[in-house]
Amino acid sequence: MSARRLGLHASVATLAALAGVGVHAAPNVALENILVSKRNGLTNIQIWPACRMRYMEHTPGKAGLELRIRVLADGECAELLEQVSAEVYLPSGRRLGSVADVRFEDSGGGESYITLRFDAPQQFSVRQHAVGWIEIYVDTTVDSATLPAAVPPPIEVAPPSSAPVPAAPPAIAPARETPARPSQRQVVSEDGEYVVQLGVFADVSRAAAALTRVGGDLHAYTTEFELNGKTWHGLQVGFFASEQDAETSLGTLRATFPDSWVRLVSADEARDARSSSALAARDARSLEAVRIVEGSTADSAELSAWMRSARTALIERRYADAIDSYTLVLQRPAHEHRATARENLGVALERSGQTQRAIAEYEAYLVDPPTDADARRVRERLDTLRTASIVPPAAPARAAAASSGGWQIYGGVSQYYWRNEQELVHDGNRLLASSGVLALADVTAARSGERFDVLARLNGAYQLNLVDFDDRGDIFWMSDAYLDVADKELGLEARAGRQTRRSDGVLGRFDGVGLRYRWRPDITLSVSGGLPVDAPRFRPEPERYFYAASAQIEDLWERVSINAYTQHQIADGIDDRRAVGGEVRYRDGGVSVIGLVDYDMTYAELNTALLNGVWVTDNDWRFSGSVRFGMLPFLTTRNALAGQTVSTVDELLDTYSEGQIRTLARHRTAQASSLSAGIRLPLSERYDLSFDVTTRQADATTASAGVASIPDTGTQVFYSASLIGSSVLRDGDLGVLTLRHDTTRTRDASTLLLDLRLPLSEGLRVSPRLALTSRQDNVNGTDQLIAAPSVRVIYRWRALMVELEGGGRWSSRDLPPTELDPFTPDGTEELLGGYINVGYRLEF
Amino acid sequence: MKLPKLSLCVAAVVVSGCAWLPGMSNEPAAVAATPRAAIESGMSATSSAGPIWLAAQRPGLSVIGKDFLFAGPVVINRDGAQRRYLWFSVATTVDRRITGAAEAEIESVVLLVDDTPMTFDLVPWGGDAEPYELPFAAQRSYSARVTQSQIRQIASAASLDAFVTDAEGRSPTYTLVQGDPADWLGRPAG
Repeated sequence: MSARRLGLHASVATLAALAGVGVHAAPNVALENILVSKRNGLTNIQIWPACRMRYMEHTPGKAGLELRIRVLADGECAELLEQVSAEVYLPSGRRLGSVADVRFEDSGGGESYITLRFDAPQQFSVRQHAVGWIEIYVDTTVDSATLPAAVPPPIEVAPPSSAPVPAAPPAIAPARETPARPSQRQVVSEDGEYVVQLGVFADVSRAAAALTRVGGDLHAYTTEFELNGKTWHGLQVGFFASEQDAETSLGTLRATFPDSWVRLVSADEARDARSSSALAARDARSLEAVRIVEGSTADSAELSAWMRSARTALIERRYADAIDSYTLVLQRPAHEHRATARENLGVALERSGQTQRAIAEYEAYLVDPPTDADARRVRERLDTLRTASIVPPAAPARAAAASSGGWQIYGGVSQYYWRNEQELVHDGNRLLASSGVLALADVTAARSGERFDVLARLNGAYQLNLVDFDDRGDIFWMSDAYLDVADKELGLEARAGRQTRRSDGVLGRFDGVGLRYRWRPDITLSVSGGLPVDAPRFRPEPERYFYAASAQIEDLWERVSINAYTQHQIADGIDDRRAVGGEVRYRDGGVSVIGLVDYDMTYAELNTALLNGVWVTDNDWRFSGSVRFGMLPFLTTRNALAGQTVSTVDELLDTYSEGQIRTLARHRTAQASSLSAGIRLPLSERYDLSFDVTTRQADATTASAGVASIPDTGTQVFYSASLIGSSVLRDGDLGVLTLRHDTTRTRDASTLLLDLRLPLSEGLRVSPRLALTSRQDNVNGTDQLIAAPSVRVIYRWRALMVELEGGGRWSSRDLPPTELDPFTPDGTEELLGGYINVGYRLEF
Repeated sequence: MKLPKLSLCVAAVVVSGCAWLPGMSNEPAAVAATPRAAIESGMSATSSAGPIWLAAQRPGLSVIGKDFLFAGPVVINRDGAQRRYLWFSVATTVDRRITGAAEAEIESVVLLVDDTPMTFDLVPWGGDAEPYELPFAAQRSYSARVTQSQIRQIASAASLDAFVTDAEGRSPTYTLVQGDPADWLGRPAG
């Protein structure tokens, strides 16, 4: 009985992934790369699938403790994923987005789930770039305490015993939770700074008079705002680290200012109050001083002159002069030049090397940017400055090192053991399918300087095989090994070494150099070149290289971004791929559309044309659709090697001419198309329902050069319906019930899948799962039943995560007459299998 | 984006009576807003009395329709940390489809507490669930950090109005029509 006939898949990839390396690509892993970066409070997580997967939907829609993304694999990718049951990734830098881990789970039939678990509820958005990666934005500026938790936080706080419990339900609607009363609660953790608002005055002279009554060493300052055309003047004193401290002062100040109260102020207001114009108010307790602060009579002609002067100085790189002029402008409040002055002051400070001050100005600008486009532009600049300021919150020493210009070093190590066995029930013939130990390590070293940011990254693994039949033996692979240097003054970034890139039409991992230059805030130019690496365990072939270039324009009309690229790849002296292409993204409110085209000029063929659209209504209904045409696989000259006994184009040239090789490449490549549509609707606060249908089709390939034709697939149709519930059995759990039906030329299959995630205590989570499948083989007319239960237990304690997973698989299949043998006398093949994975990951 | 408007209209029809239906009042006083039970684990509303309602007449758009502003305090307890928020939600019984007028985004809310403006830095309410149940669908919800003394100041006010400034710079006056902020402190109204 061969392993192939047993048909149960070894879980090498499962364990490789369970090892949880930050960014890794093992043989047959589903997610090749996970990149995390942060820009001005917005964490960007790029998930790069190892093969072509299409984003379908995600739940919950906007916020929660867990984000579940449903993806659908195309063609070959679906076959690849059949060898992958589950993976867990712990990408480095994930703490930037409060990500606990990233999981991949294959549900069969090409449908899979990518799940991000957060340490605390997060607000997020999800989209997929047409070039392949799935992008998640986590808005860490939103107070997680205000967000719903699809899964509860690990620490549950019991209500204080002093909280009153109503003896009888309220007359209108009873509240399940006892109302908390402010006077009975102790504020444990408030952030920000507090001031005592002494008063708000319509008449500036009253504000000035009030200012003279402020005594002591308190920092007094004024603010102003307009309401229905009328200017109001606020007078406040501060600053207090806690609300309690402010309340104490309030008790004293109320004797003079009976209508005063405590309020929390923004960091921007506190900073502005402590500097520049506010200082005048603090030191000069007079009416005149207040009038200077208010500055309402600033001469617009004078301001314009200062702006012109500052602009000229900035262009001529006289940054000190520019800083002085813009600072002068900003000391006059409430005029039309404030936003421009604030931004350009940041630019002048940045270019003169005053990074922290520049960051402060950009942050102040983003408090109230004139338009979204302005905000995006300034966020980009802020991001450049903050690149090396990205520090996991759990690493204060690292933060201190970063802020002092030192090196940050972080990463993790992990080890996993796995074993996978199957047996034929009726004869007890047992087979060890796979077993091994996987050790992974990833380390990142980063340093931020005033002008240069440096980052080095190594990410590799070693797999020890414990079975004899795996002739690959032990495997070592290196996913990333690069050095990245960014010149913040020039806006130039260079990365050298083993890396992954797709923005220039590059097809993935390579050994080489990539350069990015931010020419203007909304225009980025990029070039790259090197040796393609098909898999991280392979060494590149010097005879195969590429070079590529691209340009990206962002925020056209505030809704559109465009990327155009050209790429030329040579294999053994002849064109492997010469492509031009581009991507257009449109986003407006709940509507998102992505279009992608990749055209090969050598073959005059459209490699890919894809259009993907999503519409999310205000009441969270989600409609999605996608259509794709193109080549399967991507058309390159190396496709001609498929089915041949040689492994390089150079060897093929000994037998065939270049033209013949190109013809063979065409013959090995099929035209394929897919079409999908989906809808998700929220049934209630706890339940969502989704329906999807997808069709796929690939033409037959042409037989030639001793390689047989692959027949066309016919029209394959996949239906799926899911009911997703949260907090069903207990607070914070998540349950998914999925019914799926696949119809292809070779088989019809129906699957019922129940997937639960139960948080049992702080740090301990149990995830039982059951899949029942009924499959009909349309070729030989046989039926098969499959049941696959499994359970995963995860325990997390500080920097250590321990994971144990076990599962079984029972199947019963009617054998066709051609497969009957003496060992299956009743004509039914019954298989039983099981696997166990156990391991840990330790972070530093 | 027809669905949200449709659902808003349906909710308005079902619960409060659509403004354009003759002979029907759109006054929402008959249906009281109540705090929602257990918004999420660790999140609870501070008052059993419900939010206050403020309303602005829209004579140019509707004879009897109003724009509503709901406000209520919320204490959120998560991971042992408590934060106080003032939750705001805007809703309307004005059928703007008939007039063609657009519903403008809210830029800011200023409470006029005994004729003294109290400003709030609004951020969109992060949760999918509102902290209080409302008699008809809210258009948008926001929250702002608030202190105990601000709650006390509002709760003890003899008069309370609000300015809701929209993206077009309009700031109509909203007046208190239902609820008493004094209940926010757990005291009997009045």
